[in-house]
Amino acid sequence: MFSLIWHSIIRRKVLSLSTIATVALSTGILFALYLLNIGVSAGLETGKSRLGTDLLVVPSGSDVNPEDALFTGAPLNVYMARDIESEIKAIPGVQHVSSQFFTQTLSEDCCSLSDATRLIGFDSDTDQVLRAWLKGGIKNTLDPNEILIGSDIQGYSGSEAFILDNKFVVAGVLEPTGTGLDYSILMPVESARRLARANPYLKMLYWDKIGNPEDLISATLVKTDASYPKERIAEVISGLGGVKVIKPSDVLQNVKGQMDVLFMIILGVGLLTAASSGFLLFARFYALVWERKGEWGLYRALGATRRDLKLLVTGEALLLTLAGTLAGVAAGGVLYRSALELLQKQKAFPFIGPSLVPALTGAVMLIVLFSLVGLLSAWFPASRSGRIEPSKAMAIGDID
Amino acid sequence: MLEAVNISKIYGLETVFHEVSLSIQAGESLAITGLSGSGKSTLLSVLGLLLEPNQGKVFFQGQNVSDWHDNEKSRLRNNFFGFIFQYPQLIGSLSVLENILVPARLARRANCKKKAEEVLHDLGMQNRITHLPHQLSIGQKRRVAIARAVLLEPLVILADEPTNDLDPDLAARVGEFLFELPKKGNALILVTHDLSLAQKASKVVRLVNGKVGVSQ
Repeated sequence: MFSLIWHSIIRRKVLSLSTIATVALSTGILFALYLLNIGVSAGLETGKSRLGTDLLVVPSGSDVNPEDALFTGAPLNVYMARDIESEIKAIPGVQHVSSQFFTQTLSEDCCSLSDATRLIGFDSDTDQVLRAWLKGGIKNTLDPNEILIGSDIQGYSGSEAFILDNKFVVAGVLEPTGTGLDYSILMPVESARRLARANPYLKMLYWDKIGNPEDLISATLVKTDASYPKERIAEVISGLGGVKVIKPSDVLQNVKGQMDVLFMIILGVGLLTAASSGFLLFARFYALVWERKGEWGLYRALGATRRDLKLLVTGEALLLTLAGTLAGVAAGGVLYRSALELLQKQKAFPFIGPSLVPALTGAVMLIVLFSLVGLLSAWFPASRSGRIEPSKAMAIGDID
Repeated sequence: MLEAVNISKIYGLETVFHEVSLSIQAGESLAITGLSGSGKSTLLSVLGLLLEPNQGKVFFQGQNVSDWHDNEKSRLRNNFFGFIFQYPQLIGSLSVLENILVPARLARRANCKKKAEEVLHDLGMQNRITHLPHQLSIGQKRRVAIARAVLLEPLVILADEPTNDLDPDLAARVGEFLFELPKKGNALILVTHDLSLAQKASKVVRLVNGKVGVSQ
């Protein structure tokens, strides 16, 4: 039986290939969407639990995009006076503050990264955020020559890295956060300041103009008391002047809203394509049954049961949809990478790449779903084929 | 082995044949003759369980198979009947060998390839195994159709005008091959208007006005 099905597919190469391509297109779109969706969802969820700060305070004069600040590892050389930290700490409702000093690597300077990367100097005495993201076995206080790296930066504990001509040892790798930390390098704040001060390029750009790195910070992470409204505290901090207050939870919510709309549109396109695949399969198999009456009649005369004919039609549908979904899953993987790259160029958003199990689960679900669509589309035409009488074989010549 | 008792076939107001009775045993051959349009092919279809009679019964090995379920009839055709249709009825995209193997595929029988090659050899078609039907002459196509009919060694061979369109030499060779089958224990029923071919059969019936007119 398989041989007969196979020959039927082969002898209509163009039709078969176009059917496979249509199914592959629908599957590819839906699979890529699925991967993107679980990546963004995981990023949003993890980001929500791991941003760890209620408010992020950055200099107001700089052109700081909240999404870039939170979700990318691109250099963010913004600075404000270090004194602001104590002013914020004094505001009622502020439970805890910890400041960071940002600088950057130069292109191709470190860790096999071709682009400049954000270096975050943090105060391990006051920091309460990073500790939550550290994988086990990392000591709380880093030595001056030790760094932590984000989960998306190549490296492992104990490996060495040269940053701005200084040798560092990787003391640990952060858990994925779905945020810009995944692409950042973290080190003791004094080490970051030392590197920044010693770099002539950064000196010319920043320190000669805005002051000594020792007197500057880039961002302050603020933890608020739950009994105080965050919005009110943010207003008071903004009132200090010279600063901009970012509420990470609002940024996440905003990104989620935008992504939801985008995914709904893509999902709509994917479902329409899937529906059109179903119609195409139905049309193909309806025409196939109609055009091949002589052949079905011959099979019936030679001993095929009605069930055999249904099996021939549905078997062909199943094989074509299987081939289409497998090709679609492969194409979806490629589409996912391209779409992710394109989206990340357009907008920064939290993202944690899907692991193998959910990706495989999605692929299997799509294969099962489209196989069902294929079977359902061919079911009615297959039933029609079963009605063909064996006597049809008597009056026809060769069957093309 | 195969017996028809008082079978009739009616299409609308037209009676194709009426209360025809005939029978054939293993090792016998039966030729059905008659003018064009006399209902020979329809009678063959009813005998081969391709068509339902409006009246009467068909018995195979003593069992009334007229009332059998459609699936059972299909299996019966597949296992015990071999058909040679009026036209070769080959599937254009399948090679000669694949065409011959169709009944075996439907019967889910593997390992029939060797047997198919032997049959093709017997019919002088051993050099055409991989050819497609459009690469064959009409005579070669007919031989492929005959090979397909006899592949599974059916008890009954039903042939509809098997020598149509063949030149006299080839027609004689095909006739010779077919009439060898009863000698091996098969029953052969053939429809033909070629009287010289019909005369080789152990029984001849002539359909005239829907009735068996002459019996030999």
